[in-house]
Amino acid sequence: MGGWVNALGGVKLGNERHNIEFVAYDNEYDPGKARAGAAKLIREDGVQFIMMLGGDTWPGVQPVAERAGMLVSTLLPSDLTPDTTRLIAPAEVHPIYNVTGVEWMAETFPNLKSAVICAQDDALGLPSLATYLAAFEAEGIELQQEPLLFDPATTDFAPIVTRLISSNPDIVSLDTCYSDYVHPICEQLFQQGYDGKVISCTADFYDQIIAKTSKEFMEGFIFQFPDFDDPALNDPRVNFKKPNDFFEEYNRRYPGEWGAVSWEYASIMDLWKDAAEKAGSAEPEKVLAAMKSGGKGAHAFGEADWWGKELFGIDNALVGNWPVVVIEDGKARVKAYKSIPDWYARHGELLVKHMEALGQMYYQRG
Amino acid sequence: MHELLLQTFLNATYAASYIALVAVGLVLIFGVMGVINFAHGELYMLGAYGVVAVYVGAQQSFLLAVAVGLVFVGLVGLLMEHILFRPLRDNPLSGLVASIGLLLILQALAAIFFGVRMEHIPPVTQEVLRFSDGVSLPLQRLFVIMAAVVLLAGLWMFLKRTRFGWALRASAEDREAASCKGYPSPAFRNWRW
Repeated sequence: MGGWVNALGGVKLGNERHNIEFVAYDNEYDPGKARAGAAKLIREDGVQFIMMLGGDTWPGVQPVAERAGMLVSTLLPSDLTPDTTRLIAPAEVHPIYNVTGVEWMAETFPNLKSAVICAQDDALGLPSLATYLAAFEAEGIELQQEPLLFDPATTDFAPIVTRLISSNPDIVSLDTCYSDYVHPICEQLFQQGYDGKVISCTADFYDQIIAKTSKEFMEGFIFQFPDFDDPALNDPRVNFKKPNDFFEEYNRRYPGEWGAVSWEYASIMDLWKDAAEKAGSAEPEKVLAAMKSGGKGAHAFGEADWWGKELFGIDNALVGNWPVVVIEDGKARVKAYKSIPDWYARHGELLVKHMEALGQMYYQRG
Repeated sequence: MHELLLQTFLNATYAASYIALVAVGLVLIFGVMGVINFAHGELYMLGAYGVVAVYVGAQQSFLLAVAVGLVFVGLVGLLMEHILFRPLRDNPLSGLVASIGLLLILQALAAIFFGVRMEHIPPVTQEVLRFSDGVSLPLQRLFVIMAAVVLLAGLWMFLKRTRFGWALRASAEDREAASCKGYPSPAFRNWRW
């Protein structure tokens, strides 16, 4: 994406054009290394914007970034608090978008009335669990048993799946399980003869899941992350530039590596470029002001609002529509775009209730 | 409810089978050599990656891949005994520390050569034995259970009925007394790895 931007003349700041240069630093998901990396990027490399995964590494970066007034983006909005004024979540508002999959499923399959959920017991699994609980409650879908939280060190999922499907649920929710869990859980669901609906946040490398199960078993599997060769991404409301070409180029460079978040840094960079050109400067403060002016922004999946005061204590998450993706004939296809703010306007109190119950609100996190 | 119990029994039998195989190896090495081999799990990891390399990478048959994995792990075990544990055999603590170091090295090598993501191994068979709607056993899990029974029975026979097996048990029980009878011999040391 950076190459494409530079080939078209780079970023226009005032009357000058500048090429974008990326400097990579692997923090190995270690807060100490993330801190050292942020210091190097800011002081030695002179970067104007840092894009990072976030999560456990954000506390390492935070003091360095704040001292330097650096603008930083995260993929995990759970990093946001009222104090993180220079941290933005402009691509993925995990796990709130999961409500769109449940909402679409309830509209499309109104006969599905009972569900079970399993999730790994960690910082990614718990907020997602709260979201699915709220979404099921909003749709009148009954939870048949307490959510099954498993140890992230689990390798054999047969006992978990046996327990999950023992009550013959209409829906099995895989929450935001990592692909290392989604694959064996699906394999076990297949082997143990489950024939109900499966909904998950992600289905990375779903072709491998199909190879381990069957095309028939995976038909109708619902998740939230499209392949970018999907024709539905050419909808004029979608702001991601040339999604089909991007997908092709990505797969040419990194065959077999496309996953849920493969497009996100590119989309954030696009947003930053537009804001920098609008501000006429790459200075973090000016770019942030331009990015948030009017309270709206061009999210990859359409026009969106800077949002999050109630859930994160700050309106630094860009939230709008999110796609609902279904596997059809062995291929992921966008079935609908659903609005997260619309859902929240109707059922927000349920989400806050379940987030609080699981200790996941910003004022409860350590 | 009885279906849940039956399925849980089958799940537990499978888990017990492969854990028993891993545990027996660990106990044999500790009992005979007095080495707490922290890298024991990594030997199984190497075997699994051997299967990935031959079955997925080289597109060879699964049985050949398993055979290559077994031989490869056996050779690594011999190498470990020769260059790591034999020089340290009089100091169990050094052996333990060395095995932790080896554990880290093997994990790093696996990450370098295979990456840190889960490897995809296409299933050899998708056949499932269905006893009822809620009770089933995939054939590949049955193979693991059968392999564990055969291998553990074979090991039991070996330890109880052969001269080498007696020597192993004697060495585990009283190393000094066993050494009076000529054990451990070089061949004996190699075998137990």
